[in-house]
Amino acid sequence: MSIVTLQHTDWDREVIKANRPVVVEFWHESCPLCKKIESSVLELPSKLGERVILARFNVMDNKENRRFAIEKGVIGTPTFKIYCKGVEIGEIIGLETLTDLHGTIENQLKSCD
Amino acid sequence: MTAAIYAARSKLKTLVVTGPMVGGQIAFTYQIDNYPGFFDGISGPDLSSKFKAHAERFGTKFLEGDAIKVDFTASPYKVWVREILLEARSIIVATGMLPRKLGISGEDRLMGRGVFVCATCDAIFYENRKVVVVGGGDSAVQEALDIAKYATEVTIVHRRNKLRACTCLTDRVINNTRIRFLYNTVVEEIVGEKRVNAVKIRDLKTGETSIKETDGVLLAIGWDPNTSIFQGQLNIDDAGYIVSNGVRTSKSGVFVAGDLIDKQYRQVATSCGSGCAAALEAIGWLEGQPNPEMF
Repeated sequence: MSIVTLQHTDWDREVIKANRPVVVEFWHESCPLCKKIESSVLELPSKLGERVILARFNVMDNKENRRFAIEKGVIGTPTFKIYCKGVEIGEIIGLETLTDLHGTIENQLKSCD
Repeated sequence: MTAAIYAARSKLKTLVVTGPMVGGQIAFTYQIDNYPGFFDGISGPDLSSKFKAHAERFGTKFLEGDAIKVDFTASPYKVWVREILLEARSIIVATGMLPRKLGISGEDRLMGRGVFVCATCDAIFYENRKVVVVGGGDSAVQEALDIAKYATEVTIVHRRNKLRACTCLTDRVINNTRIRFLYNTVVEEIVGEKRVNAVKIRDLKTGETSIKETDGVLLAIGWDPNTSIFQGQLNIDDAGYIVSNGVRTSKSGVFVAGDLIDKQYRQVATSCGSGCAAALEAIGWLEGQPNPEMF
């Protein structure tokens, strides 16, 4: 599984209409915690396998991305949101991402059958 | 990290218990501009990665997680990380500082959901919103200025009657039309279900309480020594700092470094200095023991 680099314009196609669960990481380059967990994030595709799509959404890439993230309820980075059939089913925020990120995502994915 | 580099380079079997993140406080710092040798500056996570790689070069091992309990009553000294028991002839305590909390209702529950501690990370999400900054020191004022680039209204809530920050910062903050001040005031509760939507504040002069609507609460009230697990094992002062003679603690063979013995400077460079001193003291102390080899 590769990592999708997401823009706000891709949201419908890549998240809402996806045929698999999608884990979206909202991040930006000036966020120390995002940088700190980056290696764990990059390991997620091999751990989650083909059944899940991992997408990274840079909230600072452009103003529209930032505003889109705020519309989605993001108020800090890193934030992970988990979508099942286009519906948000889970969220992992800030310091929560430091503790067993993969395991927490797997737990939240259980409600997506 | 510096202590680990020195200890491992002296052929001691060296293990670093990292806490939740290798690098501690610096790993949360976006840019470090005053560490010698990095004249373009370096990000905190990058600098901590370099420290780690440097220590690994000499054979240092790392164990991720918090030390939850220690027993320094007899040698070898004992440290528990999760269910793992570690034993060592000598220990260097460098557990650093934790962000101080208000200890009020809503604070933990809404952390990351409108309560935040890092303006660099999260200020961008408060465009056209209101934020309360709790504190009155340099970091509170600097972070209020960072947030005011986005937020329509930033209110600094400070329990004293004037800011403690340096003049260079207070001049800037006082002239910023988006920043307001509530002096002699404390936050008593953070209100909100899934997100912060208000704070309950108390005027310390009149005793009156009121509700102030806000979208975010930045905590910038300082740091506390992370020494709770050493209570009863080492001499600790009322503020939580380890009582030491230089880098020596009250327990023979246990040394201390970094912010835990530095109430004044708290710089990466000064912490490296005391880390170096602690390792040299530990090396010397071990050489004076009957069986100087580490287990």
